[in-house]
Amino acid sequence: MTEEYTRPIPIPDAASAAYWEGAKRHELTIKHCNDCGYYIHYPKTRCPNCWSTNVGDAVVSGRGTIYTLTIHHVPSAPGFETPYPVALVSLEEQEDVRILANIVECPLEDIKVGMPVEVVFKDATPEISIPVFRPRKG
Amino acid sequence: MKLDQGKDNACIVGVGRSIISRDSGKTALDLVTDACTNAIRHAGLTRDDIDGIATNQMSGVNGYQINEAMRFPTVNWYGQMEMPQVTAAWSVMEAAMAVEYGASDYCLVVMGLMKPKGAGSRRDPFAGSVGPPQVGGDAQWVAPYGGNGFTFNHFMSRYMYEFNAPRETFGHIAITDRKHAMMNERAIVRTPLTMDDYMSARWISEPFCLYDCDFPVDGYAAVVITKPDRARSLPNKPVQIVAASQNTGPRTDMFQWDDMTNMGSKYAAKKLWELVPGTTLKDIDVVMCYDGFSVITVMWIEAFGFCGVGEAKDFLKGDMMQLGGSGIPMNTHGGMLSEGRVHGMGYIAEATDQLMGLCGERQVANAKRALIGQGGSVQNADMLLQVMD
Ligand SMILES: [Zn+2]
Repeated sequence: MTEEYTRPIPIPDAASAAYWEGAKRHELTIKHCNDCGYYIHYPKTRCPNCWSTNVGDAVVSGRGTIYTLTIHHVPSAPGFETPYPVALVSLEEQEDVRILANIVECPLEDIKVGMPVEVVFKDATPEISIPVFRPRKG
Repeated sequence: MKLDQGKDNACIVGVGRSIISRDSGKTALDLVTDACTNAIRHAGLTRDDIDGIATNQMSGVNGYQINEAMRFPTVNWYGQMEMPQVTAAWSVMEAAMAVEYGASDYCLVVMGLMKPKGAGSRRDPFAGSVGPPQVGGDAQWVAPYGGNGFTFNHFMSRYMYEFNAPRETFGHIAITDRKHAMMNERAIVRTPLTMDDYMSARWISEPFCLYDCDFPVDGYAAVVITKPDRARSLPNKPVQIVAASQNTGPRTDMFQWDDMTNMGSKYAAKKLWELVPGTTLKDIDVVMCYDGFSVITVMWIEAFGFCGVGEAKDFLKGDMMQLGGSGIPMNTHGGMLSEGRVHGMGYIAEATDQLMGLCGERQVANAKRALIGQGGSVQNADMLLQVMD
């Protein structure tokens, strides 16, 4: 954390606590059904695919692909300088797990839908780190 | 709902509007009562006839407030859908069911918008907050990234990627609507719009430019709905709600929709055509496709089957959706992109006016059937209106 963090900060709840605890360790952690293997996002403790409650938390690769890309020219929250990118990233483990995130370490004009990306974490507070994505290296 | 085609279905018998403006200087409730009074009088009815009120959470007022302002002697049924993002079609369908069930004899449906003003509006949702805002619930996945809870630009991004669709595809929607708005004195913007204007407009949230986004206004519209036997004795040509449907697919979070090259309109259109076997686009005289954002309109056009999925980029180059063109005119009032965001009731009011023959310069000759698609992303509704024989 270099300077004062002014962007919105998530409040973890019973279902999302493991996600944000994982993020604090810089691990992308997704609810995962132990019965059918489905990854569940947003986090829920009953699998929407097979309705099993045998659901755990899995650390995933953090690799994904940009599914959609928007570039905001009107700020929707404090702490953002326009223009800034907001993308949906599809995870490698399961295409329909989509994580909304900013794309970092890349000039705006080079960010494209379909681009392979990987997760990095931005430390917001001592308790909260925010997963974002950058172009995949290698 | 399954309806007999045109036999016992509820009818729209009157239409009314408030003024539509950028800043009316009135309250939402005052505008609502303007629209309701006009609709009731247009239907040839009085205070004593109305016994049902439907609106929904998007309108900013509720049925009790409307009744306190209008003092109907007895209200036997209220419809007040609380689901997020539902527009007028949901409430019209609810009212039609209430009338057909007998819960209400003459039901008022009103919808519209008070343009958000000042702190806390969508443009500046965190204005006035001190320190970093703390966000829970679904916002924890969106707000930390400066996302604004609206996904329509994400749908447009994916659509453009999958189908190699140029921005002009969406420009055609804005231009068609504007062309029609120039014939509608109520429309909030009536200046000509060219493709050059569209392509050079400022960005809002790429791929959205200014002209992909509708105009927030202060404005309301209302209709009165009753059964066919009652409708026949009233002054206007009854406009029957032949079929209506409201639908989602398996995913109902806007950011987690499975395939962002389409929207819930895919499900809504499929259901509507199932409800009216034998009816095709050839039977339709005028169409209303929701245009809160231009991408929604493109997806309705493809969902209804005007062209194949991904083909709008070529289909819209022609005049197929334009008044005086070779196809079925769309959004003859200018849609929400040009008339203003009356939260869907603008289309129902315009379609009814077209079928009653009240549209003057922009009247579609001999219009008998209107197709209406409303809503975008996960939740959509549609209906088929028909002049009663
Ligand atoms: Zn499962």
